[in-house]
Amino acid sequence: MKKAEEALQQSNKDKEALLVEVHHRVKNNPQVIASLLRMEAHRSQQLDTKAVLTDMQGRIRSMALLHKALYRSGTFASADLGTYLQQVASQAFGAQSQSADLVRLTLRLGSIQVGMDQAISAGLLVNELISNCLKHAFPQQRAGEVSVVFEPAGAEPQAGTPQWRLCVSDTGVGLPPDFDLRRKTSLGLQLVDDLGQQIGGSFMIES
Amino acid sequence: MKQTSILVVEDERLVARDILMQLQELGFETLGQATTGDQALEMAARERPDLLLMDIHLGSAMDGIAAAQTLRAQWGIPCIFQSAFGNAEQLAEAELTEPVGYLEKPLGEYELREVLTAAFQKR
Repeated sequence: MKKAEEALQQSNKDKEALLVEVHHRVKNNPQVIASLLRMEAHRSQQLDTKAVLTDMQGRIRSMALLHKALYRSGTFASADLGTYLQQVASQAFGAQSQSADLVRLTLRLGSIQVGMDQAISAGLLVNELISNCLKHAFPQQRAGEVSVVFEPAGAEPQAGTPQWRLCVSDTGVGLPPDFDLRRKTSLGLQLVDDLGQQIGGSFMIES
Repeated sequence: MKQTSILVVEDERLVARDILMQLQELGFETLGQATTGDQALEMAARERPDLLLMDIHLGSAMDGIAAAQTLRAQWGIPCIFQSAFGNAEQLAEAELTEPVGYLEKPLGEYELREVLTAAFQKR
């Protein structure tokens, strides 16, 4: 009986140690990955390669923000999507905006609790779209605004499943004439399509 | 004009290398990296940096908060803490050392530049 109790105590200790290590790694690995990507970007002479590595850092940061939000809230099952998207949008905009004085970010974000999988996908989605706006919408020091709105869609929610609309827009130059062709080859937009489906939504582009 | 010198205290060597590169790009003099609290005390006493960029978790007996406290009391060296989202209790403890800034990991160039600029405005 005593041996069984000791074995149980040891098993609990091992599990606690494992949990501490897992928490430590979940918190620290995004920094290690981001550091590796940044150092490679710094080393590379190719502008395209630098851009890809910088994009990857943004994606890692948006995922790390969710972990941060979950640790802070103390609940690991769900997160407030509006609060999380506000953090992702602000960080993506701050990190990528080349002309902070000319282009501004406005946010109007409702509040809804969602599971971690949905939150991660929505965060990555907002990160991609803001990145796209900042890369293409404001050439040659053009001024304007990037806006993120997250709100209930429609007057009445469907039975049990509220529908929400997430809209990332800009007041930039609009889509180029060959956008349909570019869309097929843009990894960012393909990812947005995939992420939209992942959270059970559909994706629309308007100009 | 003398460059501002910074000592990076970070137990992940790879992350420290990345931070040192970023600081050099921003025009700071870097005094290398310490990976433990004891090493931070030793290097800071020798090099007298203008600023510490200190990780809170150092994987050593002395954590970043204790090291920062000692260095502030002994040499008056200001500190910016960096951490992978510390809890409220830890942040309150760090606050007692009157840091000039706080950075959350993963660090980006943007956040690093902003916090360093704000820290030097405070001094």
